[in-house]
Amino acid sequence: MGLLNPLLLLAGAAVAVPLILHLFHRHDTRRVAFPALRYLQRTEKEHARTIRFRQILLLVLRITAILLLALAAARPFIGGGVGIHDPTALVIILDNSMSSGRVVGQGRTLDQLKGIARRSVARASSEDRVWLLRAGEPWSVALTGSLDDVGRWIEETVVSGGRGDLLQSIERAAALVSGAGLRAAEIHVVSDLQRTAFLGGAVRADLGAITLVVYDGTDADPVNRYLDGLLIGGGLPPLANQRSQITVRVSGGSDSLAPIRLVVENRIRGAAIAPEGSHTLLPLGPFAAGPVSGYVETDPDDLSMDDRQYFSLTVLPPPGVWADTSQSFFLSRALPVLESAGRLRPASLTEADVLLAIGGAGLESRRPGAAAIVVPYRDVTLLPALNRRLASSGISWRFEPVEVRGETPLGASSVPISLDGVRVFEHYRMVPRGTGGADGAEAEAEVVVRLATGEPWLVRGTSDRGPFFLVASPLEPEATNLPITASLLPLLEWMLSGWAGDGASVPFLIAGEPIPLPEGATGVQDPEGTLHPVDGTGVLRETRLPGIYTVYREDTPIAYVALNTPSEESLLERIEARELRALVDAPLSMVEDSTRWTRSVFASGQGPEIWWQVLIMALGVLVVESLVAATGPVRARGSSMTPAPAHGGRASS
Amino acid sequence: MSELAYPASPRGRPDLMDPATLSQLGGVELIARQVVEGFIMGLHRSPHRGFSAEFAELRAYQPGDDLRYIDWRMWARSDRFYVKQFEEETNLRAYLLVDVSASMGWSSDPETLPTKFWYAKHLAASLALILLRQGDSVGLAAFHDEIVARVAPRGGQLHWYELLRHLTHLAPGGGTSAHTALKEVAVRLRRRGLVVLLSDLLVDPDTTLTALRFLRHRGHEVLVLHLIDPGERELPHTGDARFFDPETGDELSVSVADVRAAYRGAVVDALNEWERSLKPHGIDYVVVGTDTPLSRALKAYLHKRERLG
Repeated sequence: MGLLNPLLLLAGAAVAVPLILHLFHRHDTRRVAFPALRYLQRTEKEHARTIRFRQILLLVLRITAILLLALAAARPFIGGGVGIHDPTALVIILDNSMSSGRVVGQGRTLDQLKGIARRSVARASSEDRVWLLRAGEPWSVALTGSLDDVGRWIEETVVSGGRGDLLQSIERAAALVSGAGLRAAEIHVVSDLQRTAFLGGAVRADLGAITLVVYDGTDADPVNRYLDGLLIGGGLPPLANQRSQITVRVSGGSDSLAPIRLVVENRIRGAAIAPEGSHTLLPLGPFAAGPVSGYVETDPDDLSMDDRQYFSLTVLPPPGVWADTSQSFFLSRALPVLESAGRLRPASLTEADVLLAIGGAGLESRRPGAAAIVVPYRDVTLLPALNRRLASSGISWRFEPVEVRGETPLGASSVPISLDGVRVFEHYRMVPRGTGGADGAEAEAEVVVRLATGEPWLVRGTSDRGPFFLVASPLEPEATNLPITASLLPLLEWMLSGWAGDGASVPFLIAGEPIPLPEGATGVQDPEGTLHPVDGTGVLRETRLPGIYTVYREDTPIAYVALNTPSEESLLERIEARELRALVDAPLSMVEDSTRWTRSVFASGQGPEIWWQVLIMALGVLVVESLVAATGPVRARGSSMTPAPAHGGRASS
Repeated sequence: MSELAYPASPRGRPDLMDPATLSQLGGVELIARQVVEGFIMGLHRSPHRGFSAEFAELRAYQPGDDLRYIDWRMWARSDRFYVKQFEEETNLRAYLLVDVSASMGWSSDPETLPTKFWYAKHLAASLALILLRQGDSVGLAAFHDEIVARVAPRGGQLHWYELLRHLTHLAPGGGTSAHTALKEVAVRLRRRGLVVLLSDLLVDPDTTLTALRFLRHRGHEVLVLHLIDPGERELPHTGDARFFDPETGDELSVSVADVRAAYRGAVVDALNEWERSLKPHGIDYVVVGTDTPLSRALKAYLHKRERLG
């Protein structure tokens, strides 16, 4: 026999009330005139023993009733007691997701959760089969072994930077215990019960008779400051010697100002103070060509892992550009300006990263992977030759003459460059080749700028030979005023920089998710310095820590990847018990008290609760007490007529 | 112990009214007179009649009638049996002993119940009026530790007012020494008569019994009307309390729930003991609750008077 709420046994201390009343407060009440006192004295004398017995009986009944009520409140159960239960398949889901690293009091939430998990192991017997499933490490298999092994693995569990998906963990656990073939099955969910750990709807697995015991005793304070929304250069990495910007957002529930620091290569390169909820812009660079990594951080709070956002990028040299600008006065002036600013470098046709193909010149000779920016001539008679060059280079678009002449402003634009004031006087219609409307060609290209009439003016796409831009107008003042506006150089730089190379992209990955590795990678060093060999899958799955991962080919670093914490893990709001019950279609026991945990797990050994039987016994005792109190002592027979002697007075007048 | 059955109170009969209602009617004189009028009116409807010596009228013979009173002349004339009825011509001397001790002034519920003293005073006035109307002489003695008022037995309607005057001025107080008063009455009453004791009998039983037996020994008929408040039969619902006797000052702390049932039995035992002690000596004993109409006690007197002849 055991108790689910043993603390409520303290209510049994209420027996002191009838005891005190019995011992100290009897008859110390009001004074009542009563001439027939002699009958009362006689009664007391004749029934003294009976009255005394009745009082003691009432006292015993009242004490018994109070003790039984306290016992019922403590929820007693019968059964094998602690340590004795049916052989049980048990999965302990230990939530070591990022939020478990929150400091609470003198320790972290994970330390508290590990203590609970240890209690489960302590209750388990050698006939049980126990798994440990770390919810914050979805790449890990469920660990099973002896109870000592499971206890050791619990101790070795550390906070992961990844997201805990408890619904998926429960489904995995259900599959494990269902296949164990033991009489009883339980899943112990030891978690801080973040609401974001239960995204994605209800548990889809058939839990059947599996008992879920969920720990619900962690701190419920949801306030947490964190950084997210890291963005560099509006999505494009800086080129060598080019200044850029880094943007980060401060989120959380507080209204206070947060200090922001930018650290690049272990040196503070910028700082700011930003209010909660705002985006902060910090200058970045310029850098020499090569890999650059760093982080943006704010002062750590109770949950510090999400107070730092890492980034890593490869600063490439300016793109090599080939252009035949003999037929374009303005381009022949613009490219040297960009070259002098370090935004590009001249390159031969076969080595160029970007081909500025005026009239399609050089398209047939560009190297595979090189980008092409195609600008038509004004001379419409050269249009067939351009279309042939486009077709031969794998670009499924063609230019067609337009009869309408006149000034047309630009319309919708997704270019991050201001094109206000740009007018178009002449343009060609750009048509996807074949269908005229063009499913296949549209699929590999997008219109980034349109005319006000809705016709495409600037198209970006990718062909078999490489990416391309198509401009609908010759870059001449007779066709468009773009060459004589301030927008020409930024637009040209944007088009050239966008194809600087794949290595210049800024990958942002989430801790806990696999890292796709470049070809030839042999190992990855995590932020703690541990080197992980690369298997044949070409991905690294064990990404527990946020930070900079270095990818090696043999001994040579070939890439740097930044992993950051998932922003969902920074939202500490807890799920309500009723919401959780709605998600899980199984017997569910929510346990708030760590001391109750030991008595709540392994329900098969617990046996049925008997609180209501105890309650009925208490009510029965109360009924008996009422009857005894109402009836009083049975009167004696054959009493004498002589009244009892008066106390301290005359027996009669 | 005589417990006379009593019918439901019909409207307009003051002798059948409950004492609380009756007390609203007026003073002693008015109440006693109305009670007696009502009581006598009720007697005409009952078979109780016939303790007179002077012929009054004839009535049809009923089984059980005394054959000595059959009018043989009427039988000869009518071939039917008639019995003669007489009016009393004897002069009975009655003495009313009224207990005015402090305990008589107690009521368990002063708002709805009269005190035992009120009840005894009105009962004495009513009895006196009936006795005087029958031509008897009536005396009165009020006592607690000693006799505090005394009226010598006399007859006549005007004497009733003398008795009323004394009754009106009585007030409860002091202890109870019934045997003293009874012995004094025994000494003063030289001619045999009827002694009616109106008391709550919260007295020393042995000495009181001795005095009552002494009266009986002197040839007096004795009627004891034991006045009892309902609150003395049943303990109040007070929980724990300290009860004290207003006469003696004695105190006793009890838990009412503990002793209620036993107390109820003890009271019944005490009343039974009074009856068992008095009856063998020819002393009539009637328990009269102060919540019952006055006619209960008057009927007790009537029964007694019938036997006296």
